[in-house]
Amino acid sequence: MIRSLAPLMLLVTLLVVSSASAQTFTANLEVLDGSRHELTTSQKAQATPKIAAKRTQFEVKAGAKLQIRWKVTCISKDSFKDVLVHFYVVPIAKAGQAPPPLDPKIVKMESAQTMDFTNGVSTSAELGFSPDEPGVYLVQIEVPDQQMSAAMDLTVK
Amino acid sequence: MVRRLLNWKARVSNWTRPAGGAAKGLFALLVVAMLASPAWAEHFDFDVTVTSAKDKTRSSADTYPPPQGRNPRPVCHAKVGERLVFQFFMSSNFPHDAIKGVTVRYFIVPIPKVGSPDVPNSGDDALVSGHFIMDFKPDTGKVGLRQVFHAAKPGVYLVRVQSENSDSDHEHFSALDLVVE
Repeated sequence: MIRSLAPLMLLVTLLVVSSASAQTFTANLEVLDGSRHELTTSQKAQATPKIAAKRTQFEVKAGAKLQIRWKVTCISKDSFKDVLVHFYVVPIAKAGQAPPPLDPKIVKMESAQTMDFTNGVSTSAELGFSPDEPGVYLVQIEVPDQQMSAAMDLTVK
Repeated sequence: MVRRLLNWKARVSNWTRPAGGAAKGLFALLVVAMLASPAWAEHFDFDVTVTSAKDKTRSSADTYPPPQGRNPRPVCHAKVGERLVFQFFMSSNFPHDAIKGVTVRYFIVPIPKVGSPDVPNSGDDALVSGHFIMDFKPDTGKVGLRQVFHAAKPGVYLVRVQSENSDSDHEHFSALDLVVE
């Protein structure tokens, strides 16, 4: 029995080590509504098979004046040039839905920046956002080339 | 997903300076100007637009102090409640070193009248506000934002994007006036 499980255990160990070593950036994402707030952090780059992680939820009223804060930090010993840091807020049909195509007609807010990163270098933002229409919005900060993202579902009542 | 990311990367890589094709012809003049007055070298380019249903207004770079800059602001017209799109791109054209820890602040705030010289602080009455903190590498350091908003009240609003903490004796901005009727 143990002998038959050994290859599987080795594979799992390799996947865990591979996943940990692949993490080059981290991100924090926080949404504030006055004194209320919700915080989430980035998911590690995952080896296949990909496990869908449940996103953090935050509920606000339509018209609320929100502050969205994020920070992206390089934790790798390597250096990276012209890294794209991408942020967006887009309506989705329901919480947990995969990111939809970012059609400019529906995207509420989107930013992008390019800069060089070495270990410890970070970039951050604090962005005002006031959702007028009820619904569910995906709030996501990502470094696409490093497969790193932090995301939150924002439910507007 | 991949297509979306590639599309975005393509859009980012296609970001161009507002000067566009004229940049080559002006390069020699720019070098002379920078040598003659290095303290006032332009560090950033801006391309700021506000788009309404019937109007699209663009502004480019200016410097402060003075707070209101040196150039008159373009004016965009819109209606109360209509869907408006605020967009800006800011890029480094400082050729020597990376400029680290720059704050890029943007806001849309009420002002008394078109061309008002005062630059109010961004407070609770701001329609849109925020900031980024980032390093700008020569030539490829860029940031851009696109945000949908509307004005619930008529009035005149200052739309402004500005650099702060760029380790210089002056800062850069781009601004326009938004008239909502």
